[in-house]
Amino acid sequence: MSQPPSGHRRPRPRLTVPLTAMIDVVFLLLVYFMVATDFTANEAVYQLDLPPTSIEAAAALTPHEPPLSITVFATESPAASISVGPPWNVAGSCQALASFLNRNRATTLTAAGLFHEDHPIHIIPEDDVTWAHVVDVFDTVARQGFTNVGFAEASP
Amino acid sequence: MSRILTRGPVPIAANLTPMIDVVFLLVVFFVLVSQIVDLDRVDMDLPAPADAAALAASDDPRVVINLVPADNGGVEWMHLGGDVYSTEPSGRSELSRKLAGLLSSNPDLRINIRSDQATAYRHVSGALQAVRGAAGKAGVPAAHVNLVVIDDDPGRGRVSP
Repeated sequence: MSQPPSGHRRPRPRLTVPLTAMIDVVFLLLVYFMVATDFTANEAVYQLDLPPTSIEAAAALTPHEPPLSITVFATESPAASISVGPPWNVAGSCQALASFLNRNRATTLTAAGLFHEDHPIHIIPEDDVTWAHVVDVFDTVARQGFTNVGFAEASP
Repeated sequence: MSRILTRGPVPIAANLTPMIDVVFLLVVFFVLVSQIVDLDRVDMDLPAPADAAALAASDDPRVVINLVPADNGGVEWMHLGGDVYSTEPSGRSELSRKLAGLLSSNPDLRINIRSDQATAYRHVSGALQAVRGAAGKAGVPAAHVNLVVIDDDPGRGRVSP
């Protein structure tokens, strides 16, 4: 058997791995994750507690002070239309409601305010009011710092 | 005299075909999983109050009720997880029973309500009544409800006391 002459060596075998297919797969994965990623705006929540409808539970949760009732009316305009029941008799848009609540909110500085932050507030939308308007009113009340806000059914 | 043949490098190629098959299997898996996760996010126009006082959604255990919008401010059906309920009283009753079961096992469960901004309140009121009924059946003092809106910066709009 012939031997390579001294001083001459066979070149070492070089390992080659074709990467073309792997790069194609990586780009496919990249495109997938770009398409699957949700770039929609963030969702946020308003928290409220709904008591059950049983008579006993309702009686147990009867507020010690009469709730402030805010009626929301159906309207074609972009802004919600509200009225605050007697004796306050405030009517108008959410700005009027915000001014009324801000004037009468009791804080550590304005102890003479009528409503503390946990004063029960009932929002009473009419059946045809859009959900956007209902949320606008809820947001107006929440933005004034009131925490005990709920929904009540309009009287028939 | 023997001739010495100088051979070039020996190409060694790994067979990538099975690897590509596995990668496509993974892609199909993630596509299917993404569809399952998105059951809670039905496409609709959520209300987006300007400078809202809404809070960022927490990681607390929750279920999501989607009121799938129909035309003219109506609701086509109510969506809870993978189940669909009609807006008829029978559907609301079934939804209430399902929620009661969930609240019985976890009284602190938060119930997210997602509704299109053009939906009339009467339909949302029906869902809220179903939640109230569930709270009564489960015997919890109150059901914790989250009204879901769109807000790019949650918690910014609240007035400081």
